Amino acid sequence: MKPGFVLFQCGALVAFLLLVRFTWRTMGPKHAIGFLLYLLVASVFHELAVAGMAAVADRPPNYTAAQGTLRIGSLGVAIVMGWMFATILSFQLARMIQSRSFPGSNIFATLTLMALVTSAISYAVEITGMRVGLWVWAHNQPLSVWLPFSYPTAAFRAWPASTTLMMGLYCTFRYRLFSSSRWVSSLVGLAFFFTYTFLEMIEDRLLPTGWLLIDAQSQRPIVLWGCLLALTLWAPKSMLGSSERA
Amino acid sequence: MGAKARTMHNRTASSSWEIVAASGIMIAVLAVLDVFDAREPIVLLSLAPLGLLVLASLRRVGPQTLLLWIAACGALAALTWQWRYLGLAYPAAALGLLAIGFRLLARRG
Repeated sequence: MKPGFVLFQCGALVAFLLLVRFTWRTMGPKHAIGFLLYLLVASVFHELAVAGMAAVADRPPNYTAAQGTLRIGSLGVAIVMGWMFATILSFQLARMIQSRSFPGSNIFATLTLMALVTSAISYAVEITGMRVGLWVWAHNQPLSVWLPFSYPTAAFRAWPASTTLMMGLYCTFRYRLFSSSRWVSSLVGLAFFFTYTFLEMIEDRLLPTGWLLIDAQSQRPIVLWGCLLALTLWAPKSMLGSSERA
Repeated sequence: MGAKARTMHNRTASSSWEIVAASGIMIAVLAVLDVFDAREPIVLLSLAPLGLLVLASLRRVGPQTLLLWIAACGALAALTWQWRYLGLAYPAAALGLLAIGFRLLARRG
């Protein structure tokens, strides 16, 4: 195995264990186990969905893990762990930014900041990962026109949307964002989550040219960010996840 | 935000050395790989957006810091004639716009 692979995987493992320790310490054992299990299931679902969507669209997956990285069946263990890592780290960094610069704002502000942090993590990791060969992007990926170093636009869309959806769904349950009933709130979150995922599967066929005068793949994340930003700025008190009622 | 939630938020922010350490390890590993494995030290610039956000997690970043960051990226873009380097300032622009949004809403009451 290349020394770069070993360094990356060892560093990622140590950093991941630090995040697990933080989660355990701040949430307590019961909530920490539930949260980590949820993230594990969501990350596995994400990877299976990526492969499933590629199969439905009859095209190769956008990316594949490099040879030599640990796998269980078709699942890349490092990629699943990477989603958990990115979700925890970006959410906690977002909370820290929020408490410093936007005190008194709601849980949607945390999720909005989380999307921003995830995009920055994605940019740093993708640029290095592609050069070192940690994973391989499919050929003919459109590249960002406004960022240097040949960054795939698919990464910029997918990373923030994935972590925000994963954490958003957790928040609908944990903080009862959409109803005082935990289960009703979770159902609303689940409906949103699966609608978003389903649209991703079918929109290439139904709306190939895009309906917001932009490319078909970018419109869904833009609608997601627009909704999140609106809720960040205008969500009523009853929808604040950080309220005492939660 | 209620007092209880505010206390929780502050506690999280003040005792989160693991988060800072994990960010530091990630940045250090990526930097080593950029320089010694990929052999493209210029790619270290890809760590800039994350660097700003980690800084913002450790201390409040005001308008001066954000403008300075945008100006630095703009200067780099102008000096190298690579206008895409200006894109590295996107987190500063996003944080600034979010702050303006909150300020406008607060002014309207």
